[in-house]
Amino acid sequence: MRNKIFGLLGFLMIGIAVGKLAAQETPRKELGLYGNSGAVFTPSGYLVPDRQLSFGVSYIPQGYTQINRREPLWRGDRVIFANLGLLPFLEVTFRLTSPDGSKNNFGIGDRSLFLRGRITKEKKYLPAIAIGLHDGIGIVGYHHAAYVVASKSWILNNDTQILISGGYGTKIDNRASNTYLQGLFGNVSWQWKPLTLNLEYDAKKVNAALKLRLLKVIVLNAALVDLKKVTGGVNLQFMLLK
Amino acid sequence: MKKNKPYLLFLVIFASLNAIKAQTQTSTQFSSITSGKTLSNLQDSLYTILETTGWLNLHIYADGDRLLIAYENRLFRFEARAIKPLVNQVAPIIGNRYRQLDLVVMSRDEPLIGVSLSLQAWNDFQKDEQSFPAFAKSIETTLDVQKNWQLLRGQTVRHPGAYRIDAFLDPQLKMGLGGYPKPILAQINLLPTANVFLWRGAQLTLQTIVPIFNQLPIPEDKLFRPGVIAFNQYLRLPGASFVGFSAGYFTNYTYGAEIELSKFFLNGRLIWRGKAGYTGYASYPQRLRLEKPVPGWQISSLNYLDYQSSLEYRLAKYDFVMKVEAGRYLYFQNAVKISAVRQFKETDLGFFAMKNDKGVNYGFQVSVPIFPKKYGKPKIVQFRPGKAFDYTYTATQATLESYRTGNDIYSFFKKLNPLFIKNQLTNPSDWR
Repeated sequence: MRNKIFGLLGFLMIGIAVGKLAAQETPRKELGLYGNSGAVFTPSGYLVPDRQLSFGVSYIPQGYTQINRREPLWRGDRVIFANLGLLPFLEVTFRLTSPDGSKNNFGIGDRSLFLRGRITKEKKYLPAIAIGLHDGIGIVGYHHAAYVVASKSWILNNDTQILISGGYGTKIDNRASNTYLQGLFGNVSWQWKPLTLNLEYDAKKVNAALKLRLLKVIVLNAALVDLKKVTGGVNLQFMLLK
Repeated sequence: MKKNKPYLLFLVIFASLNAIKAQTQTSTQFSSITSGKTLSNLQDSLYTILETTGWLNLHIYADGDRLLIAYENRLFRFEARAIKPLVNQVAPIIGNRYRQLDLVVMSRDEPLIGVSLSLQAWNDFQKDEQSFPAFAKSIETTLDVQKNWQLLRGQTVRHPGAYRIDAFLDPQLKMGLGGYPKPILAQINLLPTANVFLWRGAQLTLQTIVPIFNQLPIPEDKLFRPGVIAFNQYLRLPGASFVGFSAGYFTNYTYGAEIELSKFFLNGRLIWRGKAGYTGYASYPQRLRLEKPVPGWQISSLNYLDYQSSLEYRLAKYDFVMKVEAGRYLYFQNAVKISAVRQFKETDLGFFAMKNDKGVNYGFQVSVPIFPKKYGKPKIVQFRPGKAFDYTYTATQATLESYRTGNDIYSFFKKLNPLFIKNQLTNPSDWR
């Protein structure tokens, strides 16, 4: 526990050293449990703001992980991620998934790279459209997905927005060990002040999440996977200096 | 006969360097005779103020309504941050006497890039009579410094940067995969380094590796050992081209010599680089992986010829650099590497992918600046922390063996590309 606190403080210090507090955009581009912008597991058509760097941790309970570790003591997977708006039209997420509760040697964990590119920006009548390639480079991909997703938002008043996303995902790398987002998926988000409420269908199950942004830097994420298991995460967001 | 080869090579290098040194000394003597008479009182007081502040290799020349200043920064960690206080220091002194300020930014007394701005626009901006964007419009950066340098090089050099020592402490982190219960093994070293600045473009690097923490299964790495011990000479050639030569003991247990050529096109938007090295293996202590390391040097003859060529293109709007590199690397490995790095002011974040004889590899690279932003005034021996902490992560075992001389031309231009500098100068922070 002490190591985790030191780890978060370390990320916080790096963020303060190289950046400033994350910009507030409307609608807010919150991150999902895997570290890319979206709801719980499903992505959105929006990319994180250019130069935004986020560090985060989350937890995927047993039964909903992409890696089945067949280990009696294993309780679920811990996810550590870094997400970056590398360019205004390119979002990159580096993610490390390691087992929780297992005594076997799983090494450092499963590492993967998520790349997401913008096709169109959101206009008055046009949605924001993005394409994504998750875990597309590597030896064994457990989180492989290639997809296109569109998002549209409606500002109800100064404090409230509604976002709707829909997309279709497929598999393009036959070497992938496991896939997700295969087929039609979508999510609805309601943002009010620092709160975001998500409801999604990830092509397999329905999930929900509640996100709370604190001090412009910290986002707390509580999720209900398959509307059965409670989980969550936290991420820190900074804008890298120009 | 084979054993003599390295010594012969060093003998040739030593003779060539002596010739360069002699030529540099002659030109310095000539300039000190011809200059001085043209310097006004204003220029004299400028010299004094800038020298007192700590700027090095100062040359000042007035050309009509333009004031030209060549300088070298060893005061600030970040070159772009150095330019702003320099302008803010000079501009109020020269008042309305000159309309334009032309700076030539140097490294080791060799001109690298030029920065030009309107003093009228600076004055108007400082008095709030003009917006920052209007002032920023007057800022230009260029690699074409030949004309200004021709005017400046004849002037007296004040506060020379040669024969000084820049001593600093770089942190080093290495990580490897381990088994249960330690999936990640780490090694932390400190690298005390002394860069001895010699004549124009020349530098001697003396580095040692002090182990702090080691989990990697390399017993020799628990010992205090030499780091880079190398001589480097680089020169600016006509037409935004540079040539560099290094000889000595490099990283990755390599010794030998390397030559590097760089050609900049489109004001630094496109850069071609080529380099070739002739090296051998050398390690102290002997790298036998025995529990008790064996002291003494383990040296092979010069066995390896490596050569690489790269082309990089900069998306100036985003300070985003894309690079393709191919060639033969250490131990006759062939590889093609693509990389993309974005510079966020002083922080660099990038990704790369490569294919070599062992397979495919990919990863990321990070460079984070190290506190503080400003160092003490340079003395004969200047002590400071390292400028940045660099880390490269590679995902697979298909590693590419290469070495670094510690003095590549890329390192000069990493934060000094004219387009990158322009983006930094047209950012309003630190201008007031």
